[in-house]
Amino acid sequence: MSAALKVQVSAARMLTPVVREFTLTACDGALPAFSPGSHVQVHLPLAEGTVRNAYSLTSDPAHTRHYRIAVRLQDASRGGSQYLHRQVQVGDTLRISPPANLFAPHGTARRHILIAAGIGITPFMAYIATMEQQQADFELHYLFRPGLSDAYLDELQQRLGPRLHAYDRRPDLSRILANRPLGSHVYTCGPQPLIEAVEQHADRLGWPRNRLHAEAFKGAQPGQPFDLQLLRSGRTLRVEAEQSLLEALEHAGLQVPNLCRGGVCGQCITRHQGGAIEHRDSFLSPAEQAEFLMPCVSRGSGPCVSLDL
Amino acid sequence: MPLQSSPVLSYRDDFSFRNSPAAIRRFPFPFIEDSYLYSVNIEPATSRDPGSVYEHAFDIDEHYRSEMAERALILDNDPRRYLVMPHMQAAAWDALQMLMENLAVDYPQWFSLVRDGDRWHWRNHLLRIDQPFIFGDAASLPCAPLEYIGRQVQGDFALLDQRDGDLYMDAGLVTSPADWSLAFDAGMSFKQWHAPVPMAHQMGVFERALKYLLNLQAGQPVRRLNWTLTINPRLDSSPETFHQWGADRGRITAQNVGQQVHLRVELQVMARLPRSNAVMFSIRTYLISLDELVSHPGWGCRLHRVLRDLPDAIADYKGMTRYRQTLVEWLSQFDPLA
Amino acid sequence: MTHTHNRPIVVMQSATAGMAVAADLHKPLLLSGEQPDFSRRLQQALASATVGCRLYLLGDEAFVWRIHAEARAAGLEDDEISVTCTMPGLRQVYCAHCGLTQTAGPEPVLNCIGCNVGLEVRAHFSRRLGAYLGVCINPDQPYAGFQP
Repeated sequence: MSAALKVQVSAARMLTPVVREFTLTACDGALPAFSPGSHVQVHLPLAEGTVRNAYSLTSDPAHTRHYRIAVRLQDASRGGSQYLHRQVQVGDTLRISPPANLFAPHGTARRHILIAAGIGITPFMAYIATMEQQQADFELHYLFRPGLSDAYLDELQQRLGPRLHAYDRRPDLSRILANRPLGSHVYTCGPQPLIEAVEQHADRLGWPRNRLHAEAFKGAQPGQPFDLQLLRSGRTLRVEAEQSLLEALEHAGLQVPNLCRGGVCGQCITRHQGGAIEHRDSFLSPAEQAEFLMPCVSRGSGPCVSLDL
Repeated sequence: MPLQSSPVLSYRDDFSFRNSPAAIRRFPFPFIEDSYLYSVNIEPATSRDPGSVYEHAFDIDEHYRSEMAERALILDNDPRRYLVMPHMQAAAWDALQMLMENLAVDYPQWFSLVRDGDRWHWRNHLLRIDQPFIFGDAASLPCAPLEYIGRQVQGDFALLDQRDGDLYMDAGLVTSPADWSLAFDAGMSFKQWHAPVPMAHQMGVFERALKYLLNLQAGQPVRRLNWTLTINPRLDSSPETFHQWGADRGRITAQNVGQQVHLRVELQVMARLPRSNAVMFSIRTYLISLDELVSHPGWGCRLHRVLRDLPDAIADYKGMTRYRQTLVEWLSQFDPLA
Repeated sequence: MTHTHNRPIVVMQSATAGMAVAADLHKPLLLSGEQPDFSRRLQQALASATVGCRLYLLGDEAFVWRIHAEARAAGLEDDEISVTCTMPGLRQVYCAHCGLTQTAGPEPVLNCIGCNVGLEVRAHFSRRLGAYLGVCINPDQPYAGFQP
């Protein structure tokens, strides 16, 4: 894995009562270039150990003098977003991982139909900047709670005009998906139920799955604490309720490759060898889950899990 | 390594191409044991061994001017060697940026890049090029960006679009291929363009390699070596010109093996292009005659054992069937156990 | 309005080539290469088709891959197109040497009509070109001319 980047918070503002935007500039040297749809992991030094949360870059990929991210305050979170909302000040330094992309636009699409819900608008901010420059054919369907999760709404209304379709309740997805010209691709960023609803409507209309692209914002969720036995090294660790299995491994000094920290990219795949497991990933097949788990999201559901580490 | 100011050497007609002793010493001899079978022999492309071909991401060596002259000849004769599909424009600029930035940092005595926003100024002292241009504006360069930079960097370049969980060869500048055609393979998926390679499919090599490359991260390029044999130091061993060079394989004798048969090694570097999310697949070709090769202790003996024991399907794919026996017999003189 | 433009499209080289396929589909739009205004009708069908449409191609290799390229250019994805080579017949061969794509029979060798090099037809196939790769079969005598 490449080294973390040190950045300074050069600006911060509230976009809505629950969404805070941060502008990040490099502490030394230049920031690496990135493609639309990329995210960074922000390292958050919480009391119980460092947590890494993934956030989409919302800034224009053509300009990397700074990065921007927008963070929604999560009430039920493990404290990462609360730390960013309440502790971090302009002038503070943060450590972030270099950008990685698991949600890139489809290169040969003729029309891009973007569907965002709430904070799911973030990757599309970079999409829109790039697609405007490339004069690509796109439209944005933006679902939000007015005055609460409608980040960037005013700016988008001005920039996009009739290409923006705003909704304060779930729109009729069949209307969005029906009668689309060949060459259309759909991108959904939002909670898992919305993504599944788009898939169901698309299936019914005969859309093949490779015209559908999605990114769920789905970080590690808390659960029951459990013990971890590392069979190769003979160590035993404790995974706390608010901690992911991956974080417990990192806390103990183990390096496990990872990109998404959301059970999607498959990088942190680890073999398990005992103990009941609650699989929460969307990468492994049921057959593979019998042998492997994704420690970024999945957890033990009993007292102890053994790993081939 | 120092560049010769000597006249440009040729990769065709009289084949005046030669390696200096220094070039022989740094030749990337690919065999790490006495036998060869396909593997996903990929490693991180980190800088190592100063002076070696692994020191810099894009190796510039004593053949720079000769190779650029050869590329210009090929491109002028056959424009099919360059192809960029419309959706690969961003990737082409991405590639230009990666190449210019690397060359300017690694070889400041030969290349320089000054950037002021989108206004860039590129200087190539070796080819006497001084070019101000606007990044992203193709009209500000004498030709399209990938062709422009490709005419100034040794090695072939293919740009792969990542979509649908696969890689598609949708752009490239390829003038020294080992018997494959960009014009024909363009638009193919990873497995489609590898279809002619024997045995490797059954071994699952391409499945694993594709999975690895789909996860390639910006700033963490990887590399591997590949090899074949070529008669004469001919860079352009393409299908396009096979009717001009294929007959050479029938003219190998015990007397001319050492001079005419060349080991051809490709240093392949795969890098994520950060702005476009495309993958740049660069193929830097090194040629060495067997006379030059056996001057290095141990290489002649090892090559003898590898070629003697190579499975027939691979030998045939690498085009050596017609002269393999002559070649192996000649090489056996360097193997004390033969 | 809905469901009018994502009807399946069946394109047959000749009227009889694909009736069995068409019988299994819901309200297919049938096009035959033998119709006098076939090209215009195909263009129209593709231009008005919407996502969800599936295309079924039936005929010899030269025919189906030519239509395949047209459909891809119109925005259909590879896996929305079903290709069935119903009849042995003509196929396209791309000459590596002069770059000409030419119609050929099933035989493994031919003389390029562009540059006169005797070509061996390799198994390597390009969907983009709809053609097999043809490369000089005898570099010792490239222009000797293969006598079929």
